[in-house]
Amino acid sequence: MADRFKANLQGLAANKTIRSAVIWMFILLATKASLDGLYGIGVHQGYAPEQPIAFSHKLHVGEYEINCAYCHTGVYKGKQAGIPSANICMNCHNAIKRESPEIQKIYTALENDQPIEWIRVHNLPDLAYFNHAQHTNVGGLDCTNCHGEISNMEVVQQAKSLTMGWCIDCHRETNVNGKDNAYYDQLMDAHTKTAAGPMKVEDIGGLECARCHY
Amino acid sequence: MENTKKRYWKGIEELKNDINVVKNADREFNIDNMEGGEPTHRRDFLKVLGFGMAAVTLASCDVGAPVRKTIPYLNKPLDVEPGIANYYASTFVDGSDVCSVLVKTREGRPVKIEGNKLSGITGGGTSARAQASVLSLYDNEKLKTPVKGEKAIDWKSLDKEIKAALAKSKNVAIVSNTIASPTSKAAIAEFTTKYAGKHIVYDASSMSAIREANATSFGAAVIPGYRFDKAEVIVGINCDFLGTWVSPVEFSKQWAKTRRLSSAKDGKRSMSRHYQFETGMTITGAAADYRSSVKPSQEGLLLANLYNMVASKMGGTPVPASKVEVAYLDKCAKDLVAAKGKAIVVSATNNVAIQTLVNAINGLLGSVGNTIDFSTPYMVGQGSDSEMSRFITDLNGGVYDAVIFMSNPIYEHPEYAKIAQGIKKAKLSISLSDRVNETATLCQYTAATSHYLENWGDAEVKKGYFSLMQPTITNIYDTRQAEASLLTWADISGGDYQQYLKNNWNSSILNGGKSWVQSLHDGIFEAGSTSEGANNALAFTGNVASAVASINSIKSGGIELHTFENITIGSGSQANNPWLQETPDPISKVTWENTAAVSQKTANDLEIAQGDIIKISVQGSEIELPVMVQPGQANDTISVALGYGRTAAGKAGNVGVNVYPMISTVNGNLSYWKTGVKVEKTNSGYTLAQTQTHETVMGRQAVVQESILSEYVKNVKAGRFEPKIATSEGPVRPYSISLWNGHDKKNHSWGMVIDLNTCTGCSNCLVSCQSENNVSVVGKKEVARAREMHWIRLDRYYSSDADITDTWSVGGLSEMEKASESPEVVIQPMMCQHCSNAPCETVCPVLATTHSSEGLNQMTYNRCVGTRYCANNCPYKVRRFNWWKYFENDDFDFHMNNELGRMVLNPDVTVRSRGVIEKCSMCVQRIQLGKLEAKKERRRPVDGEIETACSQSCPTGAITFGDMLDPESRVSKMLEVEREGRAFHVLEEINVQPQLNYLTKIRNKDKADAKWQFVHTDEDNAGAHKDEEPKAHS
Repeated sequence: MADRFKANLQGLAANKTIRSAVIWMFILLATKASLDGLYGIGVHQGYAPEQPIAFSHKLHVGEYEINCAYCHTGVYKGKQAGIPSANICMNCHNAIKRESPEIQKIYTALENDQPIEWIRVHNLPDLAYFNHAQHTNVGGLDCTNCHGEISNMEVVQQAKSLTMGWCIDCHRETNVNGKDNAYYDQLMDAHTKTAAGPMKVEDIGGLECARCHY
Repeated sequence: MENTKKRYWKGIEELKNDINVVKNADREFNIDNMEGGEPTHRRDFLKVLGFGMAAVTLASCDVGAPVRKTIPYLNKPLDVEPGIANYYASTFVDGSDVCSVLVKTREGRPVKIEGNKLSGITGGGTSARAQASVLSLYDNEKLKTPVKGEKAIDWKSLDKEIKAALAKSKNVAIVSNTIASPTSKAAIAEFTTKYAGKHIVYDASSMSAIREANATSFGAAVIPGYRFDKAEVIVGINCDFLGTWVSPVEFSKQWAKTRRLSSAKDGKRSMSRHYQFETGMTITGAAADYRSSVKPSQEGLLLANLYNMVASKMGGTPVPASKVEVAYLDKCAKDLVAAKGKAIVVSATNNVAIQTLVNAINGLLGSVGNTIDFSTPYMVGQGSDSEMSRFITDLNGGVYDAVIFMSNPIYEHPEYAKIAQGIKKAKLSISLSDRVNETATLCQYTAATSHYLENWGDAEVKKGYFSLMQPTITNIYDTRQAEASLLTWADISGGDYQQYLKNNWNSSILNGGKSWVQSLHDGIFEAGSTSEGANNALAFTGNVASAVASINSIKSGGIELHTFENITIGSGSQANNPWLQETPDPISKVTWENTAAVSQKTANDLEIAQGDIIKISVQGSEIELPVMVQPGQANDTISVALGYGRTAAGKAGNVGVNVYPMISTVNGNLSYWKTGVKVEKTNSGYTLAQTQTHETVMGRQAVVQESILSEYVKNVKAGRFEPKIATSEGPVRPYSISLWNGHDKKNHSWGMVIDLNTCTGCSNCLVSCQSENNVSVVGKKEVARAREMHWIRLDRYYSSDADITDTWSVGGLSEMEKASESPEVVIQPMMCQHCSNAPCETVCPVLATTHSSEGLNQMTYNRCVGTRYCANNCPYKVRRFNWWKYFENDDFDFHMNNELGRMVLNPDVTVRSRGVIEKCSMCVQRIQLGKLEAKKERRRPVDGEIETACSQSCPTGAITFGDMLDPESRVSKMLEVEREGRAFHVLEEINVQPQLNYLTKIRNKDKADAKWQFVHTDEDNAGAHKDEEPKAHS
């Protein structure tokens, strides 16, 4: 039995077609694996660096339900949502939990005139332009769309891949939020005349290069 | 071009059919291998590939995310939101170049200068130098602390030592250029009162004679307000009023107002007529309807002749003067007389006799009170040559114990050697400058001054027109503005110049007219002159006879040297600015140096040619310069730009040759020209870094379309070339058949209209674009290799009707001289045309350049693999390739090679790396931002809200940007009228359907003088294309 198996195997190995098929299979799989690996370069989904101050989003967002824009003041206005300046922390913490060693770090920073050096979690490459206001204020998207369930995060981590493919997928699927926005009226009219479904971001040029790259 | 027999050419090389032009005609980047090294071989490809693979493998080892920090404010200022720009009003001042500006700051650092539309002087226009000034802020060769001798010193000790020394001084002199700031002048006045001092004012390009002549002619020693917008006939005599003279941005705006035409039914079909008589070719001469070249020595006689012609026609008394033969002079006199009361004659020459004659002519013509307004004089050019020369004598006589320099006379004054000797006699010498410049090296102390963007201040360019300056960033280094230093040393208002300024404004400027805060917000306060509009038709009381006598004594003969300020470098104070150094001179197209411009005839006579180095010597001083053959240059003259040849400006600024020492004093005034110059060829084979011959029109001659006013009045399509292509159904317009499906534009269609009639070539757009779009500086060597990176270029075409096909016979050569003697010039801004059928898009193998649904041709740098197929296929040659990495590279040691210099980069625009193509994006970042602002407010964008960098600050409004789908936009309205009028697409015949439209150049020239015969008759044009309507261009 074993001998027969061995002989068969040897026969198979001797078969040129099969041998080359196996080699090709191996090469293809290896190529796929390395390509996948290469595509993964620079993708940091799940990145959750330790921050200089153990600030808990779970507590502030999840438990106390503080609005994101209370601290991230730029989120509806401009490109950056912004990391809160220490004086925003002080709005509450000049009275609340002053004794906590973590909050004392803010006091030390203020006293020494030494800004707090947070570690950036969400990094887009310099060649991509992303504007928060377009997505939050105009598009009406919820922060969790891109940042995940922040309210459950003790330490903030990058929830989505933030790759271009991920951006594009969303632009293909998302309906344009044109309600009560005179900017889109003309486009909406044109769209309803020619197409059946709702107007997607893609339909108004949301996949064009120079929307994000310039 | 194709509708006339006129021949267009871009430089003498092309006119001569130079071997290199022929050889390189089809090569975009024409000089390779300048170092003589081996080119890369094909077999090196695998080695490079191998390295590439290794690099990728190494990069893949980096699995963890790079740690990038994000550092918020401790205490965020209320008005700063990261990512959102703030704008502050300020004022740029550089000699005559005064612009009210808005400074765009991002996260607290100034990144861009924009024009202030509220200004009644500039109307939102700026100059190239104003645009570039933001880069000078981040010049890392500036002083970082005050210095004593060569050692750094702290302010406290410096102040203590200087105050002690001042207290012991009996006579203190403050030397400066014109100070247009009323508050600064007040501070200096208080200082000089306290220390028994004297304020001596001089200017590198002196206007002393104008003031002196006006004192005797009209009893007012001022530079009067000029109103070119009220003039129907403008005559400029060696006066670059569109480029550098008195108030060029304002004059450009005024001049353009008289040149704008409209093809609408009842549109404006009249324009001013502009004569220019000049030695070297300037942008003002290029823009003129009639231009003649004159030698500097002829200028006086020309004016005397002009005076006599005007006088004889108007019943005045001519004075004896020898005849001078200058083309168009008779015609000019006739037109001037006909336009009595609406004429203006200006000259920049610093000679009292010449200015007296100018005044006499203006007096006869009734210009004073109409086009020349003595009630609103200019505050620039206050320098006095006689006071300066008295100061130099006194300084050497040991009269002054202490001398304080607020300018750089050792570089920019011809008597620099005497000043240098005199400084040693003073017990205390201080330089108030931002670097240890030529003057500061001789002074004991240099009290490091800060940049105007770090300063408080004001300017009154014209009487009653005030503009404020406020800090847009805190001092980058340990510097202090000059006024604060003076106040500190004199113990006035605690050295607090901000408070001093505010007090002065409240007490003597605003007079309750506007609040301080509002003025600071607006940046301007324009109450106008109190006597404005009053009868100021002053009578001419000067002595013409003695002026003519003085002119008759002017000697001519031999080769004459003529010096001038060019529009980029000016007097040289901003010489260490790589943007300005790399901006091509709009006429000569030379970058990074000054040249000896000679006419073709003079070059032939002297047996010199372009590429030679010549030694120019006159009265003991000599300079060596490369030769530049300049069409339109007066024969037997050499023009050389001032402002170059700095020795202590810095890495970028110490280029070219200093010609200030060649200036001499004649009849008490600085004279900027000389006779009897000796020329000697010392070397040859030099390559000028000229951008001129880098592209050719490949025989497509309809790039520029122009005509003359009388033809335009008859037919608004005059000068238009309307190509037709052959089909089986006969010739049709190119746009009526197409291979392409076109692009569906539902939302916006961004486009531009560029008026060739009002573009002067001032280069403001070029620098503005460079600043907005992080365009790299590549340096002289790379420019010579045709690798400059500018996204917008100002194509300058010469044209003439002389037969220049014969270049070998003696007769042929003289025809060529004739052709280049007085060519007409057209300047055409050329950038990406955003073609609807873009040839670049179809050849890109990686789809790095694609089309947007808003009419933009998009360039995606990160997709580009650098095949350059697109550049090859671009009919307009506007795509630029990054041959090198221009940032953080010691071979390109400009601002992008140091941390401070990189602060000027626009954070919204990617800095391109080596190996990718870039080109005009129509400022897509500004479009996107403008759209977002509108969306946030739930409305459509309003026309004018979104502007490109080039259109925003164009002084003449020659560039209009807007949405061609918005029927209310200016571009739509213009095109509606001009599509069947002056609007044309460049290279319409190749059916690329650009988004950019040009309006034909119309010259106000008589048909008899037009330098071409018309091929198309009027009937041809009138009957053309009635049957087939052109397809919509958008």
